[in-house]
Amino acid sequence: MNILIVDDEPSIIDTLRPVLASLGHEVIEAGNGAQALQAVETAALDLVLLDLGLPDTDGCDLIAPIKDLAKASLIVISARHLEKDKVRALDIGADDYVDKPFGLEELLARIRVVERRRAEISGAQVNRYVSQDLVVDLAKRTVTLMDEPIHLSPKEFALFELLVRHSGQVVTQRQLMIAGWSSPAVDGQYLRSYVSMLREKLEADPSDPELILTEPGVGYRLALTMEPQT
Amino acid sequence: MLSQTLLRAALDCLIFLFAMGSTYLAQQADRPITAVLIFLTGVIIIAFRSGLASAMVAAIAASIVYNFFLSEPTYKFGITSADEAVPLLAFNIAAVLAGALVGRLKDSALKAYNAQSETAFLLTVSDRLQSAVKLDDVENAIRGIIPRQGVETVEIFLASGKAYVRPGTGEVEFDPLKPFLDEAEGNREVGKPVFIELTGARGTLGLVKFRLAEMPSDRGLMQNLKSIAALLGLAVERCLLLEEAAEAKAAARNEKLKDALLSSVSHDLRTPVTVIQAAAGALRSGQVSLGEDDRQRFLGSILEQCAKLDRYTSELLDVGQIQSGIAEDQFEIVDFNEIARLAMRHAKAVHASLKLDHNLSSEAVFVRANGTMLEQAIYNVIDNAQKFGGENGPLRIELDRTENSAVLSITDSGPGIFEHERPHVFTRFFKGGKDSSKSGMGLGLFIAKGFVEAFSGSIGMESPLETGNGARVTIELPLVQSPDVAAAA
Repeated sequence: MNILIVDDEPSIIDTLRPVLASLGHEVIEAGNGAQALQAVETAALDLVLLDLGLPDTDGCDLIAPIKDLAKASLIVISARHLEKDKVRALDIGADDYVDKPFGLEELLARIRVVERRRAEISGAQVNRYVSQDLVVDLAKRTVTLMDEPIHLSPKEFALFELLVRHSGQVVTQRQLMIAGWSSPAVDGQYLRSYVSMLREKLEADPSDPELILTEPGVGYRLALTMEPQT
Repeated sequence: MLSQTLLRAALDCLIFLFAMGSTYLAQQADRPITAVLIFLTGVIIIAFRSGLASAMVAAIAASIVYNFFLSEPTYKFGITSADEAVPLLAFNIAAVLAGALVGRLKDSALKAYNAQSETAFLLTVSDRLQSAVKLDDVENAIRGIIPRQGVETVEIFLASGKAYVRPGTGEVEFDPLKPFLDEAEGNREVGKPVFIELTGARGTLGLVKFRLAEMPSDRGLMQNLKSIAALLGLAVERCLLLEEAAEAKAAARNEKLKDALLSSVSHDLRTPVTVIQAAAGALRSGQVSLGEDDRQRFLGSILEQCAKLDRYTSELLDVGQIQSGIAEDQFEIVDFNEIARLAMRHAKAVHASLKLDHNLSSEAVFVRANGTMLEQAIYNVIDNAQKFGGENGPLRIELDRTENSAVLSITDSGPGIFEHERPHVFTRFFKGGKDSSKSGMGLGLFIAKGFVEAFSGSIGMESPLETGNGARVTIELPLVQSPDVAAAA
């Protein structure tokens, strides 16, 4: 993939460039918002790693051009104190985020998810998502876990479908609220209740979830990579 | 007050006697009309001076005296003919009427004057209180215009829980009865106390204690005191509100500063950790295959970032030390020349490419400082100069002496500093330039300033210099006088 790294710390770019290059990616770098915009307009990009704390621009202002102009995927890299900005970035189109300091394996895993999703978007319409133990049929609206059919209520299915479509990536609370209640202004308590009902039905140990993970202050993540099928 | 009344009565009697004497003389000179007029004039003067009551007394006394001494038959009361009765009657009527008229006029003029001076007093009080913006100003403002209108002193007691606070003096009185009790112990020569509750829109604020020259006899004075208390209540409440607003503002600003500080520190500390973690992760990862060059570079950058973290930690510790104050016992007498040379050596060890020119000599220049902190301050200035001007030529370090002080200057020939940034270079977390990777935490010059000022010195920056660019930071420290040096040796 062509990956643009936007970070004002050269030491971080210097570390990531050889790593990504060794995995066969093409790396472009930008130290500030202006350089990033220039790269977005000139280069063909697949993925942008965007640090929100830029010296000259609010990182969120770069998201629209990255998504619309470059049609690139976007992973936000943010220090923890920019929590609010991070959620805003996800709500306006960022695909995922990684907190600083990040484990390299974690970042590479996120990049792989993006890579897979980009491949599937270019394919035909998806009807089923499949992993080793889980099958989610979007057309028939059925969920099968270890060959056992799991009955989900329509609202539970709507929420789970969104997590499945973004398997491996974070989904914000706002996005889930819109999927389940068609409104971002729903009481967060409802969402939490439905997520715990989903866990009751899907997790081996609902008190220690391994499938539907909470991202504190941000949303939820399905910790599985689901293969799309037509 | 009493003696004043007596004096006035005595003077009135004197006027009366004088008028009588003159009338007698005029009578002797066979000028009866003049005599009557003089006597009448005396009565009118008394009425004018002392009001209605005195006028009536004077008029009756005059009428008796006139009848007894002046009108025929003299030295006898009584009237012998109608010719005698008419002037006597006319005189009596004229004296009483004139006295009454003038006396009443005088009385109402006096009342009007009193009312006006009361109003003026209240206005002055109100004016004074307008300008009071702090609680302790309120009492002072009114203290400046008394004693007046019978008020000798004013004390304000503000309720604070069960205690009273004296905003004028800052005293806290825990016994709620104390303001009243000290009256029982005497102290009466200061005056009679009157207590009035201070109230505002939010209820009772406390009480105000007036001491009066005498016990309030009429309702007018009490009314006046209540008006003053109301004005005081308003002023106190306004001050309380202003204080609360200021406190809220300060708290908000403090909170904002803390947020900025935290986010800045967390960003600066997290960046090296991010690099270390990513590089170490890459070195260990099975999926990333790196060449030997990259592996070496990663190890190098891990060490470099560790050093950076270490520096940030000591900078934060330095800031903590500056904020908590540097104790006198950490100071010693040091050679400014020697410390500057140490700082230069330190800087060269960190920045291999650093070029320095200097005029430092082996002659000792004694100043009172902490050697380690002074070295750190000088190093921070050199480090800063190297970052922003080191590429444009060597840094120039000079130490000059004046009569009472030693001045170390560090000059670079870089692009200089923007005018709008100059006032901020010594503030905490200020980072110059756009290139944030260059600027560290923005604490170096702040620490330098903190240390230098702890040594009773000063630090300043000029930029651009005579050449049109560059920047010069000067550190000035007071020279230690020779007796101290002798003592140290």
